[in-house]
Amino acid sequence: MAEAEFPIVDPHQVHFRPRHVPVVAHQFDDLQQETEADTLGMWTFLATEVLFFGGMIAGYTVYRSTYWWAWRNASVVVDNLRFLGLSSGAWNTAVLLTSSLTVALAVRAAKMGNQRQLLIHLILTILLGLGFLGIKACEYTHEAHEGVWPGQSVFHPDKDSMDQLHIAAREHGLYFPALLREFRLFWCFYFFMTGIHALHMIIGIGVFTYLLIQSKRGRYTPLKHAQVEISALYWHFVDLVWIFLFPLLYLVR
Amino acid sequence: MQTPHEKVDSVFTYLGVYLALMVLLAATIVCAQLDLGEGNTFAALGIAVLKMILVILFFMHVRHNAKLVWVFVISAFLWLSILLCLTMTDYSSRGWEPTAMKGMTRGNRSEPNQMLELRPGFED
Repeated sequence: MAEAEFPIVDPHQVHFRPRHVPVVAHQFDDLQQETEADTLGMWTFLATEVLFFGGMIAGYTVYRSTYWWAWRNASVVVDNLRFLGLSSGAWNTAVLLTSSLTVALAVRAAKMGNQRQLLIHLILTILLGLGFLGIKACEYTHEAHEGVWPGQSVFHPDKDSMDQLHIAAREHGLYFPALLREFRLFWCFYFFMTGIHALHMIIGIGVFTYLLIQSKRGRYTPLKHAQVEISALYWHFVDLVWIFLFPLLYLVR
Repeated sequence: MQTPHEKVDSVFTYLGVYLALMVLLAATIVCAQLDLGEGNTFAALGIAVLKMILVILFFMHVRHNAKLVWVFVISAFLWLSILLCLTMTDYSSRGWEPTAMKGMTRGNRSEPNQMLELRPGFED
């Protein structure tokens, strides 16, 4: 390792103050190798997550191609909660994309060693994550009132949507109770996919609260901030999942 | 104050990507209002893929990462596409019909179908 590249003579001997952890763990040659290993390890986990959500998306694709007419209408039922003219799903996408920006800026602040900006962006991220869950809770409550939850036996949306569905079913000569079972299948997918995504959000908020506490103690320096970086990868991945869930569940047309 | 092996993007790069993501979100919402038939699904998913590429390359810094990370990222989505393609080749060749709309295809969906009377009440 050329000294011109690294200002530090031997990073293994440089100790990170609070707990005397070496900046570079002993199994790595240098910081670059350690950073690459951290990133690669996180991406390995994220690849398994892609396939974890991929299983649900595969099941979804099979039933959507079979029950396309019913699912289109079941999606409209899910998409009918609006705030200021925009559907709750669209608001949630905007909230999550914004949180991705604050996470990216938090990583940048950690790399630059800007403690104040790091704290601000971590707090903003946690607040946006909580905002997402808040909007989701409103949706779930609304859907419980309409009888959309799995296990609820009577579907009773507002009169207008009910009339519309009734007329559409009559027009196409569809048998309503059978149609309703196909609706319920969509809603099951909706609750499982958004539910598991929300669980990932809750875990993410927990991880970021840990980062906040650690960064308050000054644990992250321009040399040592792998925790911020790989937690950010996780957060962005949860955002990616939502980027696909939004058109798949709210915008079936 | 930065380590030599890490590139730090400017704030404007991140803000630009964020702006692009918000424009794409607006495009998705507008597309969903239009009636494009089959095109709706493709438009919505195409925009989602664009958003995904922006997030992975810029926010997740994959464009600065080693080639091995690229291999891992691409293989994740390659395996996902194998999962979806093989599943659909199986199910699309089974000839299943939706229970509520027997005899109905996308072509004749506006034709009346008198197979079953609509019953009053909406309980399962």
